[in-house]
Amino acid sequence: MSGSVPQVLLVGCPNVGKSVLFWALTGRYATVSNYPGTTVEILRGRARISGNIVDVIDTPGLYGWPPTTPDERAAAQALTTPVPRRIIVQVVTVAGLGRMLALTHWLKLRGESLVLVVNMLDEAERAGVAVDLDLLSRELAIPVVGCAAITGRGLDQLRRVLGSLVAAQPAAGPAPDSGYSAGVAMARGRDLAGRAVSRGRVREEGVDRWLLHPVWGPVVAVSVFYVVCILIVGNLVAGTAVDRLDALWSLYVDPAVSLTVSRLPGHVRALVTGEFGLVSMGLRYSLVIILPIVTGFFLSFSLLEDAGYLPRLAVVVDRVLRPAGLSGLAAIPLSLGLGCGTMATVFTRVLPDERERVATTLLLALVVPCSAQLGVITALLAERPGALALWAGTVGLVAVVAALGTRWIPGTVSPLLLELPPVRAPRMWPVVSKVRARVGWYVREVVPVLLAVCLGLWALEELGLLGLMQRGLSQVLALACLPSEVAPALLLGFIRRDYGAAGLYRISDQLGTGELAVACILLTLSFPCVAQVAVMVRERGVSTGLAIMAAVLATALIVTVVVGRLVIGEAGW
Amino acid sequence: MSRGVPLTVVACGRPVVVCRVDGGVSSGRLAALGVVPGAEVTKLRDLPVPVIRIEDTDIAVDRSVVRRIYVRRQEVSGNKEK
Repeated sequence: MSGSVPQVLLVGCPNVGKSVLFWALTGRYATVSNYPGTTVEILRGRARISGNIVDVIDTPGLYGWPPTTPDERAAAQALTTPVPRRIIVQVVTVAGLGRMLALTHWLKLRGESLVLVVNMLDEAERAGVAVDLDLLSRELAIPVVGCAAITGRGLDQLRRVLGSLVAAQPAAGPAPDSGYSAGVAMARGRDLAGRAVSRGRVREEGVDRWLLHPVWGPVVAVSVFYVVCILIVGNLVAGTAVDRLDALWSLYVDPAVSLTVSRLPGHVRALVTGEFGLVSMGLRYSLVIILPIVTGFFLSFSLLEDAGYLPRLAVVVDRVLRPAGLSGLAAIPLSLGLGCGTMATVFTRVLPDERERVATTLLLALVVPCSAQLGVITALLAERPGALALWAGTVGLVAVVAALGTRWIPGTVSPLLLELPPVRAPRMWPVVSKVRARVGWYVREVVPVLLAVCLGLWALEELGLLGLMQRGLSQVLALACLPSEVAPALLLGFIRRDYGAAGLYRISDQLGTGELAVACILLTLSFPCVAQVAVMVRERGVSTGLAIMAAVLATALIVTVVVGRLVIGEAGW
Repeated sequence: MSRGVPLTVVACGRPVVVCRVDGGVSSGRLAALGVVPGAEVTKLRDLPVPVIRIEDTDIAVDRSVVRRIYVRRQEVSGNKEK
């Protein structure tokens, strides 16, 4: 910890612009930390305020006190952790000011050194709403600063206020919040906001008339999905960009690395450039193939997130997912799974209930193919429409049955209750910072897993165990009337799902149409890639993670054996 | 003071005042969003799910939850419009 460096803690509801303020205060010196165990990132950075270095901390959204969701608890924990020299900056907006002021009362009761920032003043003014900042400051007896952090307005004043507080900062610790009543605080906040805010005209529902329309809403949702998943990530990134990068890698990196290690002993050479080499497979897959794809997805989703579309998407699909015991919010990780299942498993954190998180993790592992795998499978089956139909039909059917089956997972799903932030054009800073944080997460958390897997496979290969595993798998495949040539491809599929499909691609000439379709079904349904399994176990815990894997494997084997016997065994396709 | 009617039966676009919110899993979250007795809310739409506006914030709320929010028509004296 940083000892006597004063701390500035940003708190407030979601979507009030805390993060923009964070980046505005800390600039390029900000670093991103991903605290284990917390549900969302807490950002930490340094800023210079009136010549003093201060720690600036950005917290996840907190609606009020007491916190009610897991996300809020992370912010609440940061608030209640005692820090000797701390200034709390509560960020609010004119919209919803009354309820936000309830938290202000709680913070004041605790005797925190407090500044109130009324952010997004520009948006309020555009909506014809004015706020009396002096009245707020007088009544609350704390400094109140009006800002539009995105344009930089009010930031100098905020720095001055913080500077004087840092200079004057006494070491009085916070007091317990005795006598706090959420109801009273809410009523007082509403009363004060009622006097401080004057509205010119009533805001129209605007673009939501289309985005939430019973007919046009789903049309927009499907179009957005098509543009993001098929056009941007599928065609542009997975198709064009990855192919070119991969070609460059084969042309320059592979020969250079081979040359470098050419004098080393065979075992070491295999570790670097062999079939499962750290460079030839580990780095190549994580940097050249997956990184561009997940970056494309991160960028698309961050844009949609900042535009305020994701909550609308959740509203539109809520009725479709309810029968499966899921809420509309589950659509966010599920559609993300078509990009990268590993990342999507992490994103199940957006769901409020553990039950829904488990159900979504299961569906991601069982029926949602990632973009890389989807690309290779569709290419593999494109020339055999019958096989494509059999594959899509079987996976689709399993998806519906599994979704309905997740109803038996114990627990409840909360009814929909979702704030709809204003729809606006995405802003560059928040999008850049989110993409940066998420890509950083991928590089730190997923790349090491892939490298570790390469190391493990290399060891298995050196010990001669890989062949043994393949022979074991062949026995199982025989049950589904699949030839043993499919075994190596499937084993690779566990490492990287698309790698398995690529393995099938090489031997596709030797396979019948039915065999190809059944192999693709097994590949899609069976184990997700090893990085996803690692994240599943980390996010859901060992017992739930292993239970999900067992359910996935059992379903995959039963479906494959049944379909294989019918199609290959009986029909001889 | 009347006991109020469920927000589900009120016409869209008309400001109403919350009388009470029946308990249930969502009452804490509703309170955090400001939906407490005395608050002014406006229902904006019913389909695909009800959307209510409180203090310029729009919230999509499941119909089962909206049914538990009881409201009365706003009295003219309590009207703060300028």
